[in-house]
Amino acid sequence: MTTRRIYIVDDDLAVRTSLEYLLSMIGESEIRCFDSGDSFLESAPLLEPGCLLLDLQMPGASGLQVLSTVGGRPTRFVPIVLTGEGDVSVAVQAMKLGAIDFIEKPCDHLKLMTAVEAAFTQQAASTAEEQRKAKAISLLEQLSSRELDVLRGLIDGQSNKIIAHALDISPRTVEIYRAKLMEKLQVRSLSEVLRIAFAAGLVPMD
Amino acid sequence: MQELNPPPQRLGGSLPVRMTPIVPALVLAAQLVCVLALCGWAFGLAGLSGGFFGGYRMQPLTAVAFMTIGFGILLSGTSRRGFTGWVMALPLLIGCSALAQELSGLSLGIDRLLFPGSVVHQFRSYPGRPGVLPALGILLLALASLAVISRAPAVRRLSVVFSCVAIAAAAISGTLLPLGMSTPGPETRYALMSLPSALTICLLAIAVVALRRQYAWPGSPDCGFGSATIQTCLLLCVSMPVVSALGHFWAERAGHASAEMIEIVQAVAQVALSCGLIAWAWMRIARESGARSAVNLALDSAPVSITDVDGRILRWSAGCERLYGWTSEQALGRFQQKLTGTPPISAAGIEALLGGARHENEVTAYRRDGRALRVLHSCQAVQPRSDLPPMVVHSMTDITARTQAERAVLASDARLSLAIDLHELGIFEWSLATDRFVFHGHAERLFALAPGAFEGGIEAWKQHLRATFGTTFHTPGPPETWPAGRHPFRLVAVEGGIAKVVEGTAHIHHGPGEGDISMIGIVMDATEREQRAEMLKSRESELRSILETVPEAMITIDGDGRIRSFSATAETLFGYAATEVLGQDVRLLLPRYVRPSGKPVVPGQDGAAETRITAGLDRHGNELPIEIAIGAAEVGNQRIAIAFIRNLREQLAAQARINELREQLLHASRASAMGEMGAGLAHELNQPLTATSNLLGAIDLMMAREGDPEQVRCMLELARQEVLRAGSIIRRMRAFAAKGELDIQAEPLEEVIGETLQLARSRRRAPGVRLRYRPSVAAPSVLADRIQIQQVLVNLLNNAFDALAGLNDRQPEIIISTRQLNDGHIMVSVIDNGPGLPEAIINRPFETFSSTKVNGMGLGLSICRRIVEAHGGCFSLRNVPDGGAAVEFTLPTFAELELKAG
Repeated sequence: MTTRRIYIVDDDLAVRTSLEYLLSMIGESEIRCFDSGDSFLESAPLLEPGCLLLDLQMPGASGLQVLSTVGGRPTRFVPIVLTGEGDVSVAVQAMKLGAIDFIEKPCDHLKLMTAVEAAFTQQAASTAEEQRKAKAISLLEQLSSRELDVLRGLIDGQSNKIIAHALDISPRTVEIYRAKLMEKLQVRSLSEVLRIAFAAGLVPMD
Repeated sequence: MQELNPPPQRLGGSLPVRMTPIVPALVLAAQLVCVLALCGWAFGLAGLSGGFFGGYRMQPLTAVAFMTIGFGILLSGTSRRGFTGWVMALPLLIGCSALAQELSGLSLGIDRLLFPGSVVHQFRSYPGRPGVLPALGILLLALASLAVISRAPAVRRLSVVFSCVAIAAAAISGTLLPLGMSTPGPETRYALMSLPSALTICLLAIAVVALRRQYAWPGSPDCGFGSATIQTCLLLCVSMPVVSALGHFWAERAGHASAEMIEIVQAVAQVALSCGLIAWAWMRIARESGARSAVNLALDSAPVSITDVDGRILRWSAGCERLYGWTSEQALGRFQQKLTGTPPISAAGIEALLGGARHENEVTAYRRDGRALRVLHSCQAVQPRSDLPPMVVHSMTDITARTQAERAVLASDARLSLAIDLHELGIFEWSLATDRFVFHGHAERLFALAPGAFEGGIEAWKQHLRATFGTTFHTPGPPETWPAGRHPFRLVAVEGGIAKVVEGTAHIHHGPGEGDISMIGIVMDATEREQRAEMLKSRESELRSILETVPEAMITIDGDGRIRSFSATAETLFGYAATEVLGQDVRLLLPRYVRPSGKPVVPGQDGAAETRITAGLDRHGNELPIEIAIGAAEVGNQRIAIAFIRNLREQLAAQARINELREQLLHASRASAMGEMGAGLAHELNQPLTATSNLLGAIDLMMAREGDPEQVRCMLELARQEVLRAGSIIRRMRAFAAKGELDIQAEPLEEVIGETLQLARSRRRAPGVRLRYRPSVAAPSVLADRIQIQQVLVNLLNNAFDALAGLNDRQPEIIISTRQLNDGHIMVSVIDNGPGLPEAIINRPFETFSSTKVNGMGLGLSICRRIVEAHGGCFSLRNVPDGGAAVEFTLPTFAELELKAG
């Protein structure tokens, strides 16, 4: 496992300090504290992915604002909302914006630690899937445009003849493109082709 | 002087003659004698006509003549005196014819005109003819009777002479026969007279004299006694020797005494009679001269003077002395016109005076002391004797008072007529005797009559009134039954919709006589007055209704503190009916302890109402809190006070309720603010709890892993601090929740504001609002109740947050700043950049319940102001120029107070 990074955003010094103490018990972790949402957002683009412990009530940008800003990159920060005012509407809003947990202050330190562990697990999972997708995309990027057209036809479940007719080429040529395609993707069967395509996010067009 | 008061006979006897009763008595006696004589002739009774004494009888013609004279005398005493002359023609004729026949010896043949049969059988020269003496007596009496009625005084004087001669002749000749001194015969017939004739002559002569006594003796010299005395004396003087001579003859004849004795007795009788006559005359004269001197005195007391023709004063009466102030000594010899300052009589005037004219004029004279007199001056020239120079008799009458009175009367008349004219009064008169109306002044116009057109009597008058005014006087029945006294009337004629009102009074007067009823009345136009009265009445009712709607109780009080009016509201307030308290002392309405000892003083200035709050006392003895405003006014010539009284009981109760409500609201607001604050405090409390929990968790883990004890202690210390912090937060919250009095202490302003900001930041409803604090004060301690000032700030921030909600076009921002002022105060401003405050709130920000918020209670600013003002600060609102509201308040600084104390 690589170094796990924990970012604490809270306006209260005592809370930040105590969290820092507590989370340092996890081990192999790197903890950074921010006293406001603004200061976090300023430095967010340069930060490594990690777990984000976010207070909602803060001067400047509030916790929800921070969430909506960083929510587009869910793989980078796994947000856990830590608030003193448990409110269903606020909790729902936070979850919609990508928070994986909503913890009311004060809370059991073990629960907090479990949540942080869970965040790291999720982060790890999301990292593996991303790697798979990246590989599939890189494989697909090797294909020519004709080969991609044929691939899309295959995804749609069309026969060689129909593909040839749609592309206005001979079925034979389609067969050649199909062979090249499978070679480039280093697969033997059509099902394998389709898995890569789906992993890369190439979904059939309705 | 007598000339100044001319006797009545100068007027030619035109005055009625009042006959004394003796004259007709005497005449009737004479007539009786004559009638008896005639009867004697008629019935052959010689005794009746005087035949007892020597057969010398009264002739019938003589009797007729005497009767005619008697009739004439009676006539002359009546108003038909002119006939006397004609009546006397008969006796004159008889007398003259008898004398003429006697003298000439002729016979006219009238002697036996009456009773010729009886007459001829007489022993007599000419039977039937009146004797010489009776004929003379007839002539004398006839002349005397004529003289009495003559206009010439000289002739009138002769009547007495004629009478006296007739009496003397009759007395002598008439007694000769009865006394037997003579016998009838042809020789003696000239000296004899029958007894009836003598008696008749005497009676008639005395009657003439008595008749003459009715008149003063005219033109007689001023000898000090009256003509009546003289006449009586004359009569006595004439008859006395006759009586004495007759007595002498009788005594001698009868031979009662010797001749000497008779002479002596006669002389003694003469002397005695003369003495008696003189004594009687003396007494009469003394009495009359006394009366005359009284007359003189009376005349002297009148202002009369006598001057010569040039005006030199010859006589100056006591009246003049009094009138002019000059004494007689001073005045005599001086010129009257100079002495009295009157204009002298002109030469022509003197000529006229000497010609007998009477001069009379009205002049202004001057008294000795210079005072002016108005004198009626009349003068006349007199010449008492031809050997004396003519004199001028002046008679002055002081008419100063009369002139003044006349002038006053004239002026009064003029005033009256002017008043009648100006006031358009009319006067009308009527009397039953004439049954005519007389109008003066405006009466005809007021009665709607053409001038001078109305001629009718009372009935026409009533008809006219009925036709014009539809009514008439309320005097039923004929005028005789009208009661005397005043009868006011009022007549209304409607012309073209305008009522013309005529008012007046008729006064009916009953005179002493039967049917002597008159009416005098006054009439005036009352139209305008009625209209004014109507207007006044309507204005008064309007005012009254206005006053009745005045919500305050109104009482008017006169100068003596007595209640003049008591409004309906006052009745309700005090429980008295107006009728009960009118005229009572106004102190009745005040409790004993606020009653002024003296009379309530009416305020001096008009309209300056003085308002004060005091207590009143109602009918049941309950005290009322009242507010009383007293103003003064002048009604007629009396000062009155007008008191407006408001019952404060309800107002005070309302005030108390409002205060109570405000307290409750303040508490509610505090509670609501506490709710707000509670949320923030809960958040704040969460922080130390969270920190503590985390720290304890970390310690737990570290203990389990047997970590660094130093680090554990450090974390424990941190946890302890957090717990303490939580405790202080709870304390603060409790202090805020408590509803207590102001607890002013020196508080660091930074800290107060900082805590508030922390609270404010914890608000959920403030997303994205930038809250800035810009302190600019070096001395940050203020004298304040921390919690309350925090409440103010929280309120203001809440307002600002609300104002900023929904602001899209710019970054919402609240700036809290402080600024040191020169007067030892710090100004705290809360400025937002929202839409600003509406005008209505700026103008009256602190009105309770005026809110701009949909759910606001409108208490925020009001409470804030109260708190700030309780701290001795000011609170103000304004809008900043580039949008947004600024709320500012000041607080006293602590350092300043120390300096003051030092």
